[in-house]
Formats: sequence, structure tokens, C-alpha cells
Amino acid sequence: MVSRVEILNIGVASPAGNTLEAVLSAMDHPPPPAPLRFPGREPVEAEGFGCDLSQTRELLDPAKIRRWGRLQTMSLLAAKKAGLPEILNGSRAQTGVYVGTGMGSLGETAIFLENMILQKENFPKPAHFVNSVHNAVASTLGLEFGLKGENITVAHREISFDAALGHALSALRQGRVKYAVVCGADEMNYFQVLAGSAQNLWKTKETSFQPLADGNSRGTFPGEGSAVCILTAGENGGGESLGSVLAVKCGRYKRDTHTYINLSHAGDFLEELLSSTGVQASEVDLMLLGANGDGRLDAVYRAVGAELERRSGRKIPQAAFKQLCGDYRAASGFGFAVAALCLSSGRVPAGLFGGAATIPDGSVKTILLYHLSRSGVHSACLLRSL
Amino acid sequence: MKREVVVTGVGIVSAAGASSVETWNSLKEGKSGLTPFSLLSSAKYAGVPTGQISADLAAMSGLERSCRPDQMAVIAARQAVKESFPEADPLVLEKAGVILGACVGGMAQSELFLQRLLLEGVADTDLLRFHECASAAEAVAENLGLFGPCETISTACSSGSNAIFLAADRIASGEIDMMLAGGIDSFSRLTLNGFGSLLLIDAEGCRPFDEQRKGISLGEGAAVLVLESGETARRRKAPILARLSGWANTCDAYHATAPAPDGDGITRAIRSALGQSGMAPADIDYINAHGTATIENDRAEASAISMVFGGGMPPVSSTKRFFGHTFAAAGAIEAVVCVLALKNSAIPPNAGLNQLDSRCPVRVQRNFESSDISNVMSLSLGFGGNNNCLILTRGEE
Repeated sequence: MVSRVEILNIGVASPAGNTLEAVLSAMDHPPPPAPLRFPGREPVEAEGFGCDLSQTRELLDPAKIRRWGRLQTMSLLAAKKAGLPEILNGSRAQTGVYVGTGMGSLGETAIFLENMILQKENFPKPAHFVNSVHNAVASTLGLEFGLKGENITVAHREISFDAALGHALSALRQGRVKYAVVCGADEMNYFQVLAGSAQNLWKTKETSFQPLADGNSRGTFPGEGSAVCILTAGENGGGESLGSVLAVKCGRYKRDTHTYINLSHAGDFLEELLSSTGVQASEVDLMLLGANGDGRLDAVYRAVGAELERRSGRKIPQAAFKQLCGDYRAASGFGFAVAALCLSSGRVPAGLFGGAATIPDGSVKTILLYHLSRSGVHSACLLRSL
Repeated sequence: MKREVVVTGVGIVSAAGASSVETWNSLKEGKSGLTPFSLLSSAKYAGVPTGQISADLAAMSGLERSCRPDQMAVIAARQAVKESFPEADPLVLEKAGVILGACVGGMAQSELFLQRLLLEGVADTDLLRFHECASAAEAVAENLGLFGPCETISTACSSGSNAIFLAADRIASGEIDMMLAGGIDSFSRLTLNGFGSLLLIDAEGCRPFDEQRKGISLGEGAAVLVLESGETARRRKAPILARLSGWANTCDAYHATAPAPDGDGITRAIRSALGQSGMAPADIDYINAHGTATIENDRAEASAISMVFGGGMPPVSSTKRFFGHTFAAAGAIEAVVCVLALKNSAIPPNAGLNQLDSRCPVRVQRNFESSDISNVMSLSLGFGGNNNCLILTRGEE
């Protein structure tokens, strides 16, 4: 029997706010994207969703903030908001850290490389190199909070967070760790936004941003953020938690020339996840999707959702969350936080549907999250209220 | 009840050889793969001893328009699958997954993108195609038709061994029957200048555990192992090259780059892996150390080994001078070295050692030596105090 894993708490550094209350409020009325500004850089012709980190000095040591990169700072802030280290009840040595980040410390990497190129390899700055490694967030979380258990970082596009979550679940269920700190984090960077503009990845002159809405809109808005959740196996949970994680699954999808993704294969993938937990497709109350507002990608998400609906024999509402945070690789971590908030509050705010549909309060018990990458990988995660 | 995890195929490409046979011959002959660096344009690091691969990776892989890490990963994965599957079985492979460790991916191309943008004002975004280190695992999956989990682990220099640990965990728990696992990394000016900025590159080539050592030699390479449950391997009569008996990962929580001087985190990883395998320290016949040849790494690692094994310490060697330090690939390459050591009943030497550092209390294996070994241990350490320990046991050939 697979033991239940509970979500003890979640902390966020997000464009929708740095508290769960702010995120819940934004779920009712998502804020619009804003013009992007990068200190010390020429203005860029792009809008997006950036985090406000002005509050960090109240919670984190300013001397340390100066030494960290943006991704580390965002994640340390989210970790403090999640209640670290107090929430661990002194079990730091038995706590593992599992981070998903698609792009890692882009900002620190860019600073090091820019200096290296412009200074012709002279006067390199070692601190930026040290912070540039993908596991800088995981090791900083370990270092700052004295977490000595497993320390794993997954860097695999849009499934980074879900894959990290999967390793955390395994460690918890096998008793290798007592608590798992699971983080999904990616930062926005000047050069990344410039490159995205050159590739026509970003939306321009949109009046609204509502993923899954019908239309031929192309592109998305860049975003960033860090979500940190604290998990424990059911027996340690004490019954006061935001919800439980039943299962997570990652894999590669098969392609199809007409529907982009082979829907039969994707449907099997989702049903395998559900059957591993004994949950029927008809029990899924909501699909929360990684749709990003690009009409072509959103259509794929809708089709996968429709495939599960067809198999379940009942209507499964589809919702999206990237209108709150913008698009970034590890955004599924923020999606996980949104799903947990829906379960714990008993509400699925209309803003997740673009105001087009609502679900009665208290009726959502089981949420299936689904994410895919154009590179060929996808992931799904099943959450349930306690 | 945990399932048995076995190794049924290995593949490797590095400066010490483009196959497991070539690699083992280099170890046997004491032939270091370090040569003067020439792969990338670098004013500061041209000519520094490094483990760069001379083989034509594009031709070997058939991936002419790909990047070096993806080419290396596909070459190593094909070798491993060929050894594991005397006859191709696409149905088994379709259900298999792949987890690779990778640190920088196609960073060498990303550097060119930034250079052109900064110096010429040109945004040649085609150069960013391989920026994400996920690219290599996907190239392997695509090339071999794998549709199970496809992931990339990035825990600095322990990435490859952590990929093996996490793949083994999935098989042991019954989640999946077969995973390809390993590590991959190539050169970039980021890593050259980064380690250079930390004053960690030895201009004379790395000398693990030597009193005069001054740091690492950088390298590139890939290694992939086919891991699967013992039950399915025996059912399909696959060669069982070794058994993965124990694995563990810990965090020092001590410093961003330096290991805890007392080796506490490494000690916990070793003890945890031993506990999982049901073995006592005396059961280990050889330790392949991380042995980067930095002052701090070698002392901390030696301290941990000494703490656990004491007077009954088995022979220890670092094989970094053969390959260079290949970052994310290092742990996987060294796991393959351990499989080859078990298969060939011999212990590879610690090349580059002249006078043992008196503060490294380890029993260093100086020469290649035939030995009837049954259980071997591989240690891998990474930035952020990331420690991994794998234990491998003789197979059934």
C-alpha cells in the first residue's frame, strides 16, 4: 500500500505575490503583465511577470542576499514563507531537498559569461561561477537551514519540478527522509528575454492573457518564481495540511502529425498514473494545465484533457494558472501551489477559468495537474484534499 | 521488499578511450588521456592539460548537427544497449527510461550566442538550441526509442552518480524495469574560467592525493549504464555485469564549494550505502575515490574513508588523471570503471601520485593489480557538499 504524502505548507516568491493569501486573491483577479525592466540594462520591448523581492531584507540576512543570485534569493524567501526551518520540528538531518529548475541560475551565468567575454577572460568573478551551477538553490537551502539529507536537483524543462517531486515522494515513502523540501524555481533574465523576442516567443499588444481561451493568439509572456513545499509521509503529518500528493509521473509522449501529441498514448499515461493510486478518471474534479496562452500549445492541452474526459465518461473542467505567474520552466511548482490552495480553501476561483466557468465551493476533492514540453516530455501529478 | 538492480550493459567515451575496451586498456597500461587543451579558443587555458576527446564524435554518433554532449551521450548509450541486448528488443526499450547527469549542456554554443550578441549585436538564436542540459537525455531517448521517464540531474560533479542512484531507486521500488543512467559533460569556457577563477586548475595535470597536488584537470566524456531488475534481466538472459548493491546521497550543509573538512557528509553517505547493501566495511574490496586532486577534496574524502574503514581499509584509487574531471560524467565514468574492475578482476591505479599527502590517510593503489574483488565502492562529490556513494557487486558472467 502506497503511503499518503501530506503537504504541510507552501511558500512562494511569485509575480502574484509572496504570500498564499496574495496568490489566492490574485486567483480571483489575475494581474495583467507589466513592462519588463532590468536594472542597468537598456529597456526591452516585452511585457511579463516578475517577482517583487523588496521584502526579502526583512526575512533574510542582507549580507547573504548580496552574495546570492536572484534564483537563490527567491527560493530562500519562499522557503522562509513555507516555515523553514521551524516546521521541521528539529529533524533537519532527516530532511531532503529536491529542486526542479529548468534553466538554473541564468542571471549568475550571464554575469560571469558577459564579464568573461568583455574582459577577454581576465578578472573573472568566482562568486558568480559558484552561484551559476544548477544545484545552487538546493545546496543553499541545505546550507542555510542545515538540511543534511538527500539533495537533488532536476533540470529538465517543464517537468523539472514534477520529476523532483517524484524523487521526494520515493524518498519519503521508503523512509530515507522524514521531511522533503520540494522547490520549483526559475528566474527571468535580460538576455533570455532578448533571445525570446528574437525568436518571437513573446506576446505583444495583447489586451488580456488567458491561457486555454479559444483563439489564434501566438506566444506567451515570460515569468519567474519559486515555490517551496514541505512534504512528509502521512504518519508524520498530524492531519493539519493543505492536501495530499497521491502520485506523480513523468515520461516521453509519442508525437502525432495531426494532433501534435498522440492522444491515445497521452491518455494511457494519465490512466496509468490514476490506476497506480486506485483513483478512477471519473473521480478527477479538475485538470489544472500548464497551458501558456499560445493558441497552438493550448490546443494540445485541451485535446489531452478531452481525451481523459472521453475515457472518464464525465465532464472534467480544465483550468490554467500561468496567467498568474507567466511562463517559465519550473512553473509547475507554482501550479502545484495553486492546486493545493484550491484544495485547502475549497474554492476554485473564476480567474483560473478566465471567468468563463466556475465550480461550486467545496466540490473539488481531486485535482490532476498536467504539463508538457515541446521537446517531447510530459508529466502529471495527482493531488487530493484530506 | 526492494528489487535487485543489476547492470547489463555499459558504454563510455572519454579521453581515455571511445569504448569500454579502450578505456580498460588505458587503465591497464597506465596511459593518461590528458593532452594540451585546444578544443575551444581560450587565451588563458590553451595548452593546459585536459581530458579532451580526439575521436570524431559527429561521425561516430551520426548526429552531425548536434552538440558534443548529445553526441557523446548517444554514443555511450548505444554501446551500453548493444552490450545489454545481444538481439535488439524495441518493445523492452520502449518502456525503459533514461536519467542522465549533466551540468552545462551545450554551453559552448550559448557562449558563442552571447559573444555575438555583445560584440556584434547579432542575436543568432540557433546557437541556443542545445542550451538546456536536458538535451542529451532527450537525444538518447529519441535515438533509442525510449518512452519511460526522461530526466536530467544537475548536482554539479556528483550528477552522474546521482542519476544512477535515482534510476536504481525507481527500479528497486518496482516503478520501472529498466533505466539507462549515466552522465555527460563537455568543455565550455564557463567551466574553464570558473574553475580557473577558483585557482583550482593544476598546470601540470591533476595528481590525486599527492603532496604537491595543485588542483584538477578538466575533462569531457559520457558514460551510460543499462540498469534493470535482476528478474527481468535473467528472464531475457541478459549479461549481468554487476549488481548495484547500495546507493546513498547526503548533503554536507557546510559550504557552497568546499567539502566539510571532517568528511562528515561523505561518511554518512558511505554508511548509508553500506547499511542499504547489508554489508560491513570489511566487505568492500576497492574504493574508487572522487579524488579530484584539490587540497580540500582529497583531505576530506580521505578523512571520511579513514573514519569508516580504519585499519581494514581496502585499496583506494582516483582515476581522474586518466579522464580529467568530467563534471557530471565523472560519477558515471567511475561507475563504469568499477564494473570493468569487477569484470576483469583487477584494481586500476591512482595515476599521478608521487608522494602521498600525509594528511590523506588512505591506502592508495599505485599500480594496476589483478585482484579477486567482489564488492567495490564509488564515491562522487559535488559543489554544495553533495555526496554520493554507490556499491557494486560482481556479476554473473
